[in-house]
Amino acid sequence: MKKFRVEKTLKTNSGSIRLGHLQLPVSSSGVVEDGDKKRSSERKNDYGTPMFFLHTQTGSIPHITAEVLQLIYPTSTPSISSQTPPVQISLDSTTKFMDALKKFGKGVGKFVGLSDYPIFLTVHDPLYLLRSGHNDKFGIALWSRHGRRPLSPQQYHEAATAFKPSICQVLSDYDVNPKISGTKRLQKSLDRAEEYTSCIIKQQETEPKNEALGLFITVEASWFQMDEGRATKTVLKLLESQHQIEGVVLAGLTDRFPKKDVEVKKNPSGKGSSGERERVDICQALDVDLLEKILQTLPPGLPKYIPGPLRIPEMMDLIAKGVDIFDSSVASRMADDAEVFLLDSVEALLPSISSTVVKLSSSLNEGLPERESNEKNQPSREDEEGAVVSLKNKKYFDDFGPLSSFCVCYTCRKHTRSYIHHLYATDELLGPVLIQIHNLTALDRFFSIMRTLIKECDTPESLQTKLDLIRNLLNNRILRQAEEEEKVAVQAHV
Amino acid sequence: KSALSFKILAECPVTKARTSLMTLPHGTIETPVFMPVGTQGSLKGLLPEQLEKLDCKLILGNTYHLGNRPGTDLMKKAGGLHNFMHWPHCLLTDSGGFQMVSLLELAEITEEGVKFKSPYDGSECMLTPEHSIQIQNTIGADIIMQLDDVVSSTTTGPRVKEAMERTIRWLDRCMAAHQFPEKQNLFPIVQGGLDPELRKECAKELIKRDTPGFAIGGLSGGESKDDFWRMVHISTDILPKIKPRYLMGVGFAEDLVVCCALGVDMYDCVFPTRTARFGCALTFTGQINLKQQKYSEDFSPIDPECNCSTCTNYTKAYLQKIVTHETVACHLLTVHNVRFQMRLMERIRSNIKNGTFVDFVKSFMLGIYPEKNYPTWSKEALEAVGINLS
Ligand SMILES: [Zn+2]
Ligand SMILES: [Zn+2]
Repeated sequence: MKKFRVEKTLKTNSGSIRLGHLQLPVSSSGVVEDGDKKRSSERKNDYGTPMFFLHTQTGSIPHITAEVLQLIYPTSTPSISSQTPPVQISLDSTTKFMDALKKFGKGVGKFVGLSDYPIFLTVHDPLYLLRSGHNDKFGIALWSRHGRRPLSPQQYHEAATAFKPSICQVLSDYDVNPKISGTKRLQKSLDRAEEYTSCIIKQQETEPKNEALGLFITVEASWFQMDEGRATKTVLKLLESQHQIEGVVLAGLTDRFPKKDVEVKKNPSGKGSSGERERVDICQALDVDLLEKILQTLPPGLPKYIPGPLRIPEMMDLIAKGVDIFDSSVASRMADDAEVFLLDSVEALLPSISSTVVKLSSSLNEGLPERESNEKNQPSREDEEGAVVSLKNKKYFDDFGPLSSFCVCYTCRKHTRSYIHHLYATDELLGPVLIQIHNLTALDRFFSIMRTLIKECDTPESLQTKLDLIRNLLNNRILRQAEEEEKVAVQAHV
Repeated sequence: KSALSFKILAECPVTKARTSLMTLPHGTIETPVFMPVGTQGSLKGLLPEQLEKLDCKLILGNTYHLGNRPGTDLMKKAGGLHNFMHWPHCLLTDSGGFQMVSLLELAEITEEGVKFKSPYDGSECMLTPEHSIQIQNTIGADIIMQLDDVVSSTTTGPRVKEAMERTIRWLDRCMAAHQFPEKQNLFPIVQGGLDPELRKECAKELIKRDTPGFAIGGLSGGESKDDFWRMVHISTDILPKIKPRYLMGVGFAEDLVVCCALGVDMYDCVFPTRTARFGCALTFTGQINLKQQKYSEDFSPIDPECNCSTCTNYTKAYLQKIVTHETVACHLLTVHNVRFQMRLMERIRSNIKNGTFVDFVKSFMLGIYPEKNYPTWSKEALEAVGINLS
């Protein structure tokens, strides 16, 4: 049975916007104890799309323990349309798990303390650049803080067996760069794609235990940049065994942009550096034409996942093209820089945009009884129409308001901007925790708004209008546009 | 007039141990109690709600750090530290003096106060007893500490006597400067180095003042354990039974058990939270370092009897993969280690209540030293209050 089903499609000039459902059973062998069984059966394993996966590193959502995750997505959620996202775990950040997981036998979800969550096993952590020159006929190179580790399709199959994910991404020879690779290199990559895919499918068939496992094939954007014809041919070939393939990972779109200010990631013990690998930047200029080309060759019945750190406006553009799945790697990255999503401008306008999205009542910061009203102390927020602000900014030093006045997350109910600013100024570990809580809540809220809008719109035009409106709000375009117009008027006058 | 009430629930018939209810403006605390240290207004990445779940209702903040960042102006605007960090339970702040002397190389002590160069702009500053109390009044903790003249516990000679006497003079200045005795409890600090006579003199002088409780300071700084326990023993002999006694900077499990037997009610230490960063987990049979390869395929929790969220959800094998390089690992071990301290204190309290404290001490010590190779100091300390380990 297919894991993905499209509920509704709105065709536009640039693609089809879809509303769908992805079913992800938690691997049954991954859940053994009675207590767990009870809890996971309570959880819906039917996920509305567009959706996102929770990004993890070494098996944990950065800064968020299983206990705190419960606070972000409590079983009784305040908003009816929100959903607890499933978890993405990359093999490169968990290379050291293999031996333990084989013996453990209950799957990686249980191992990392997230036994209730369906796991999507991907190959690479979307926050790091892939290095060139190390893939060969035996397999690909995985990069982690322990250095390079080669991975053959056979080893990958073993990993998938030990990890017991709900879905897993098929290996890909990612090392194709249109700027430096020749056609021979491209052909190698395409051939290996076929080889890896048929290899893992064959292995799947010999192992009845893995019945529940769904495969997502990997499609490299660079194939299409170099030779559309050959790329299309290969992709169609990969899809021949469609009954085994549940979705597509669109790779090479977000992971080719190095982060300019390469920082060494702090590690809690304060010694040594774990971040020698180069990190990717938050992607803000996606090649949408290229993406359209790729999407046209893919069957509509498969869900499409773009890994990597994307801001909300960029995710909206991709949703409008027909992309169904994202991940929260952007939030992991934002927590390092004290950046928070601000959906206030959208929330404020929601009643006029949508009749069915539940408008969250202005959040009440649960101040302590003797707290004086601090409203006078709150600086003007008019300059915060944008989608992202950084709490490292000094102007939040004495801002006793919540991160967002519309958010009902734990952080916004309990803590002030001033306190979070202080936590970052003093390098306290709680800062990133509070910001992750808010940002993961905001992402959930954003996707739930998207699903509701797609559901309630009858024509692609009406949906597009609403999406444009939201995008503009988030990009602060209205303000900028007004400025532009003013400039033009002044110039015309001169 | 005092903002503290202290009600002894049970006393050990053999040792000096007791269990009590200490009621403060932000709640009632069962003692003996361990206070984790939340230096800069947060406890090593834990949410207030997580601390509540661990049964931790009294934590410590550092005046020196908070006075620098975010500073008293903001603290005032925020309505105190309780509001600022959204912590509805009890707080204690130190005087800032100890941090200053230990962190700043150039700190110099004069009769007026602690003179130091600002680490930010190099300007010369002075922390006087009045100033320390003023900052602590703004922070608003339930218990505040006098500024004391801190000398290293290994210092000898006339300097120790001078520091002890100055500490008493500074107490009077602190008491005079204290603005909110009805909301905050000022504790004096027994000093006197490792000299029994000076300790006695200091304690006797301090108890002439009507303060809600007392602290024992200047210990746990590299002195021998033999000196350490004797100073505690001498101090608790003099300090009035009807008021809480706080031993500053102590937090190793063995020390806590021995000092409870010596009649101490409150403790603080950075150790349980600091050691979490390095992959260390505390258990009733000693600490374990999860970095060790031998845990890489150990699928049991740190302590199967521990009810913390870490032991409920995570195995040693997973912790072994992430300790010292993921902040999540730090959070997980902090949760467990704070819970361990709380469980240890719970056991101490319930055994005092049940009249089984002496048996508890014996079995606890046997847990850490299964070969019965007890350190001389703890054997002697426990013998001094009537527990014979061998
Ligand atoms: Zn929020
Ligand atoms: Zn535990």
